[in-house]
Parts: sequence; structure tokens; C-alpha cells
Amino acid sequence: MAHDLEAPCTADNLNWSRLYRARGDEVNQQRPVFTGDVFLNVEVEDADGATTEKDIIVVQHPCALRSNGVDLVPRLLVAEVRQHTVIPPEKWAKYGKIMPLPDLLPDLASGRRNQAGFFAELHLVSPKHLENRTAVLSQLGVNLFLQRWVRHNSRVVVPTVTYNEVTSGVYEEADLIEEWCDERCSPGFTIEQATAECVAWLRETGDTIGTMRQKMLEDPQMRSTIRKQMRKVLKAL
Amino acid sequence: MPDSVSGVTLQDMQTATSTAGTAITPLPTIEATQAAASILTEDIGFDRSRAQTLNQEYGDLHQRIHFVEWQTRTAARGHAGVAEMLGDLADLGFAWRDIARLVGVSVTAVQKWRHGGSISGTKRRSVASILAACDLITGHYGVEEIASWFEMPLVDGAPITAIDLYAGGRPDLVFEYASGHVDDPEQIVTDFEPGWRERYRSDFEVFRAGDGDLSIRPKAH
Repeated sequence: MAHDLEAPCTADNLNWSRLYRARGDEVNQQRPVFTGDVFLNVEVEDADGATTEKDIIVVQHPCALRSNGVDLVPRLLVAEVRQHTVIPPEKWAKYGKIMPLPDLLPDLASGRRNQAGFFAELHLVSPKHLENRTAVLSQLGVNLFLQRWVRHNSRVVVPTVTYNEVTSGVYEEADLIEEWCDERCSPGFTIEQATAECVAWLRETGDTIGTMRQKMLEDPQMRSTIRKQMRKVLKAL
Repeated sequence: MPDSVSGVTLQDMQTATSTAGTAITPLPTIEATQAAASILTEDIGFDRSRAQTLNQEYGDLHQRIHFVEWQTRTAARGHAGVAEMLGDLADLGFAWRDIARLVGVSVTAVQKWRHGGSISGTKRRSVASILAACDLITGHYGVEEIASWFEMPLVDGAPITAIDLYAGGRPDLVFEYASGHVDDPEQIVTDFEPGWRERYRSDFEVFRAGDGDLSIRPKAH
């Protein structure tokens, strides 16, 4: 069977929550910005130069979000998010121009609860306007999102299982930075300082042959070792 | 001399063939060695069937006793506070998102429990049962680096791990895999997800590109 666009669940086992790591109040604002994050009321620049507020989803690949591992690039590519009817799982392959986001706003009972990212409606935004994050995609959600975005631009469908091999390391890195910030942030120690501290630690050698911890995270079998090292360090700080 | 297992003699067998009548072609004369081999084939086949039945029965029994021990260990682990249990799982190297999956809640819920948030009795037991499963597996089967073991794919070509089995409601398969009594882990993966070969088939591969980063390209055919 040829590869086609995938869905997060099946019709006989609907579970849209598999798309998300966190929504609404569950979102930890200390987590680094990542591909697939959804922000509300972001100031974007229209084609005519005027600025308006839109809900957006971050489109850029995780590796292209930062120039130095800490600071976001000055202009981020995002896609507009708007209300959209729920696409049943068996029809996800037919809607290649959007990223369905069913149950994005679970606290709402109206149709606004279900949204979608529109790949044909792109904007560039400044990181300083990314303040009101309302959803973070799960690892599966990120893989599905990348599969659809790449297919939209290239007509090539790569299975999510292959995306997973590439994205799981950087997703793990975001998890660790979030955990580091949770432990370290205080009134006198900002998110930026905690993030920089964590990234510096990740760039240190983590084994006896000189491999950076950040690189070691690419190997799923090394991740628990790095987590243990990190938690030990955090307890000692 | 009667066969030691069946009690049948060569003479008995030859008498039996001679009473078949003259209208049909008589069976060829059975040499003593051939007859003994025939009896052994029958007997060993029977014993093999018995062994298979016993193997199945002991497999079921082993699974049941796994669950009994797991429940006992869960009760013991459940004496600790939730924050302490979560701290133990963190010290083993589990990711918070995996702990959340294993318990069946969001990462945020786990983080709230870590910091003193209230937890239901059912969920508290779920947290204790993860630690109990780790205790059982490391105690009986000598698994080192238990969190890493839980994250290890069972077979090549599919990302299914013990975390997936456990979170998918099949801790029995986790214990079976850990015990090493299954000859081929593919049996476990097939039991868990029958269509896995097709589902995880990919015509693409991951490679390290010239810039040093992981990238994707079509597989060479």
C-alpha cells in the first residue's frame, strides 16, 4: 500500500487528545516554542503592511526555529488557525491543505472548539508577539503536522514513523528544557536565563568518548541516562 | 519384548496385519527396527503434544502468578506518597510524558501531583503499579536500566516498545517479553498490533546529512 496522509486515531476509536501534549490551562508557558505550537491573538503583518491579530500555528521545523539553540529567529513562519468542521479520521488524507485541530479549544461547546491550520495562509511573525500559547502538540501531533506540511509543499508523503526518528530527539530536548525551567525559574532567575543554563549543560560532554548530551538525545536508548544525569544536577543546584 | 512405553510387541503388530484378509495386498513385512521406530514416533509425538499442553498451562499459570505478585508489590509501593513515587520513577530515568501515558493522564496532571496536587485513589494505585512492574521485572529478570528497557523497540522495523504495550492495556505482554519465554518478540508485537508490518513500513530512511543533522531520504532500491 502506498503511503498516504495519516490520522491520529481511527473512526472506531476516536481520540483527538492524542494530537496534543497540552491545551488551554494545561500549557506550560515555560516550555520552549516548538513546531505546531498554537498561539492566540498574535500580531501579524498583512500583505499591504497593515497589522492584524490572528490565531496561528508555528510551521517551521524544530531545527530552523533557533539560530543559536536559545534565541528564536527574528521572523517565524506561521499559518493561520481558524474554525473548521471536524474531519473524520478516514478523510484526513483528503484535506491536504490544512492541519485539522479538532478539540483544540476543549472548554468551548460551540463550533469554535474545532479549528484547523491553513497552509495557504502564511505569515511571518516576530517572536515577541508569541505570548498567548493555547496548545502544544504531542510527539505524534508534531509528526502528523510535519507530514502534512511537507506534503503540501512537495507532494511527497513521508510516514510519521520516519519523522519520529528525526523529531523525537529535539522533542525530548524541549521536554528537558521545560523541566529545567520548572525547577530553576524564580523571581530572580528568568526563563531565558534558565533556558540558556540548560542548553549550556546539554552542550557539555555526556559520555566518556566526548559526545555532547544534545547529540546523545538523538539515540532513544541514551535518553533515560541524560534524564537521570539532569535530575541529579538539578537537585545539586 | 514389549515396548517400554506402549507395551506393544513386534509379534502383536505382525499378527494384526495378517488378519486383514487375502483380498487386499498385504502390507510389506515390517522389519524390527522399522517397527520400533514407528512406535517411538507415535510415543514421542504423544509426549510432545503433552509437553505443548503443559507448556501452555504453565504459560497461563506464569502469567497469573505475575499478576498476583504485581498486585502484591503494588500494594507495598502504594504506601509511599505520590510525590515520592513519582520521584522514584524520575530517578529511574522515565520521561514525564511517558509516566503520564502509563498512568493515562496528561503531563500537566503528573506535574500537579509532583507539587502536592490531589490525586484519586485509582490514579495513586496506577502510579504505584508502574513502580511495582519495574520492581518485578528487575527483580526476576535482571533487566538493567529499566526506563531505557521500557523505551527499547521490541523488534526492528516498528517503534513499538514496552511502554506502548503497558499504556495499551497489555501489561501481560510486558511481563511475557521480560521473562524471555517467548522465542520470537514478533509474536508479542503481532499479538499487540496485528497489522504492524504494513503500518510501520517506510520507503524512507533517516541518515546524517552533510551538516551533521539527521535528515530523511528515500531508501535505495
